[in-house]
Amino acid sequence: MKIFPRVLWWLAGGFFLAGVFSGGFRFVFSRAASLCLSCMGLQ
Amino acid sequence: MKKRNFIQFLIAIWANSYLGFLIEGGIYTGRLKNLCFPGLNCYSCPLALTAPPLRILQHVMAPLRTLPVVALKGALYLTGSLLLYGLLLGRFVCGWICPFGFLQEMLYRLPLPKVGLPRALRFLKWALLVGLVLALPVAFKGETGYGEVWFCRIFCPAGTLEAGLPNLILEPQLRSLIGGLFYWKVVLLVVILLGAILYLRIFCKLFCPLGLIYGFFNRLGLFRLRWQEKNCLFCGLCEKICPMELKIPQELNSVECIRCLNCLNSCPTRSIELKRSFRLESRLDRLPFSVTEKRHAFRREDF
Repeated sequence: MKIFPRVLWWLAGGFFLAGVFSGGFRFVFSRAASLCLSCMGLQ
Repeated sequence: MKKRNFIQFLIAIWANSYLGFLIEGGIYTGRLKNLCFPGLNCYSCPLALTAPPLRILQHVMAPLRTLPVVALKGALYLTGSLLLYGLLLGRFVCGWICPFGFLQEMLYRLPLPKVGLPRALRFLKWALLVGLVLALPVAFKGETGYGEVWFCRIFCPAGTLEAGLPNLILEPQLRSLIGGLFYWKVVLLVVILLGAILYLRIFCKLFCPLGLIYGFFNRLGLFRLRWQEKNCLFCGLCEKICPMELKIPQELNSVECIRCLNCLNSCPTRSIELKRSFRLESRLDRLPFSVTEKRHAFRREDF
């Protein structure tokens, strides 16, 4: 069990970098850069 | 104002510091919107600079059945961001960063009667996380073919407060869309804000799925709280001052602890410490109290 948190750190870094280099941040941007009617309770 | 509240205030101001909407109208669409802000802060707020992870998590779940590759890219980035925030900060996010947590703490300072609520109600946030954030966005497709962001749509009070109300004031053409759902969200917002005046951090304790996600890292993350029995006076001051009403030391690293560090700072003998650790919390860290419970009660009466 001692190894488990270390694996999580590697996974965190790996996922984050994979997300950045695969353009995952663009997915975030595409959702976050437009007004959301659902958030406001209007849709 | 305490140092922690001042930091919360500064972060809330920074996260909501876009004033361009006064000139150009609409919301911020610059590069910072690529970033996940760790706390609960709606991105449709005219002032918001960043994207909130809870909303993005629902956006990742929603197209999972129809566009799995697109969702996967977002999922990698989001999972990495959440894991890094969780491991580096855990629920320090709730105690020190989240603007909605700060708002609730300020409301609780209003001099009105305070109430208690049954602890069993805290399981509601598990239902909200599993049901509205993870399951429903995948399970049901909307008119567009994607799933809906159910938590934000029917529950999130931050969305109503930071996005719904300000945008309806700024953009009158949106008012034609007001319907039953909006009224439901306004009622819910009012109930939660009134609840926060009477019961400290009611949303964090009962409803917040994001806090629950970070809570899982309290036993795994970089920073843990540790109790040293040999220094403890068993005065119970730490329990009295805990905003989350936790049993200390048993629950020092439970999912409920928001890492406000009130217990650590109030302890007259510094028997609670903040330690850095890269290993899983051991049984020794978790269960020192069970053997001394009787002595604890006895010494507290004596004190």
